[in-house]
Amino acid sequence: MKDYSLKSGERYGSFDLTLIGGDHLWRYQYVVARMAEQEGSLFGADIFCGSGYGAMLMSQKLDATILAIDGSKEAIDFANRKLNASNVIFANKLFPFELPEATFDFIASLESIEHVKDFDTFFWTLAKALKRGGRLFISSPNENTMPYDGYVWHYKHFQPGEVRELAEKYGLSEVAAYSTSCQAYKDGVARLFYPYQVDNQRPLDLEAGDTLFFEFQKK
Amino acid sequence: MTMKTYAAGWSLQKPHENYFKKFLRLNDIALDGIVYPSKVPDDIEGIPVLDFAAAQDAVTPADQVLDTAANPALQEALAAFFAAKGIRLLSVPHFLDRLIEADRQDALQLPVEGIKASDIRKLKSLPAPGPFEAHFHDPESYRLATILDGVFRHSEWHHLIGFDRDDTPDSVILNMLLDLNTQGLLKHLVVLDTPRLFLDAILKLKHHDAAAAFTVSVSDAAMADLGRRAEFYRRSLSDCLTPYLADAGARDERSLLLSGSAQAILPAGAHGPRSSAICLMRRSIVDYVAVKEAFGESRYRILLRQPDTTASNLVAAILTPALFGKT
Repeated sequence: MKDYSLKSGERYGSFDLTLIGGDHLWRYQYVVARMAEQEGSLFGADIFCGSGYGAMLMSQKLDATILAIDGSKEAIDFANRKLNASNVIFANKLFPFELPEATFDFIASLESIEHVKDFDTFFWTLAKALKRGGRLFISSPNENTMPYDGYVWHYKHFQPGEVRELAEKYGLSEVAAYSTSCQAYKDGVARLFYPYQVDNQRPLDLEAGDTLFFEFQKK
Repeated sequence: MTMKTYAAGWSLQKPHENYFKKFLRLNDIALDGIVYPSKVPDDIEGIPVLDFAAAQDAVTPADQVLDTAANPALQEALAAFFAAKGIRLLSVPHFLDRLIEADRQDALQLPVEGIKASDIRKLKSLPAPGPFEAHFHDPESYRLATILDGVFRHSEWHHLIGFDRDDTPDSVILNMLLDLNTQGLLKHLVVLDTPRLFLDAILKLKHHDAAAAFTVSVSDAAMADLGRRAEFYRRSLSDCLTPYLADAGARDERSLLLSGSAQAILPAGAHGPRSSAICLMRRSIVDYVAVKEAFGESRYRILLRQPDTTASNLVAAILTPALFGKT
């Protein structure tokens, strides 16, 4: 079984936004900015939430209740211990799990799909759980700029077309597509994990960065 | 000839220089190059990389070169290279100190919102916190004030990384409330602003002690800030919610004010605040100085806790004699 501990190296083990890479932070800030435009109280999900810093951010900035799920029991226990927010429900569950159909106004699934062997069922689960018009915010390492090299935590990196195919297959239309960067590049390929750059808290053209980021809408 | 600014090495992967990098971005300060013994890769963060051969021609003694290498061996190699050129490396704190000293118009944006260069110059003109200042509630608060004073007085922002302790303002505030509740000091809580932060802490406190017998009131502005969520809190706190009294003089003197900023609990005037408070010190040690000035000779104790490396997350409990039923 994989190491699902909070400090396994695959999660930010902190709620300290000063210690979160700018690209990771930007994606959640984008979700907040987009969903703040919606009317009414929202029901959102953060799949997989890690330590929960993104769920914390969304719960503070949005009129929303957030279901935040992660496979790490330690991460969820930590979140429940360190956060008081009454509008976040943290839950510990490994995928596969079922989500209720047509329930969520938005789902953020960031730095997640690359960790799931059955990524097709994972994507289907997320898409099915959205209300009509609901938004899916999803990221993935870009196979073109950060080729999968057997990295132990990931099963697959994605080309933009592969993510778009999944969206089309499961009834989602594309609203926006960007990329971000968390690596230093050499010869056009990401070489060194480098989360604390001066200027990585911003979107890039889809193929420019090492991580794809899409906003989809349920048809 | 215009003085250029170079970096000798560049901290990679580690967050120690996050505040410095944020400062560069906020103020649009561009570095002219990063010098390494060899050129791999061509640029880092968009800043061109110069190897020693290129730097030999490009960098002159009229330029300033920042000591930004994280690796000691690399730091030594870079220092030796520049020493041979008659250039002494400038530490980041020294570089920042110069800018802050020169910024007489407060044009610089410092990486902690609300702190201006003039605040730092004022801090430098005051004595550092002393161990025998009677208002520190405990040794940890004194130690913390001393560290934060040093961080901002000497622009040693990288020392904030020492607070990477995986705590949160939520948890610190809850623990402060729990502690005061255990001592029987929670009589009436007044939420002035930032309502969700404090009301959620109060709800969690009631999990810990269902028999706790305090009352809570929420300012009109804070209630409005809750929007549609207000009803949830009204119901969840129905057993202890009381009307808010805008006139501070009409409130129970044992009230504990709760605010997301120190400014909200510091009324103007010659006399120190009478009520106790738990608040966020968004401007860190600069707010501590403001509290100290506001209280003047009045009696109070201050408990300080820094949950993480985010300077604006400093939490203070300011305890006055009124909380203990004394005037």
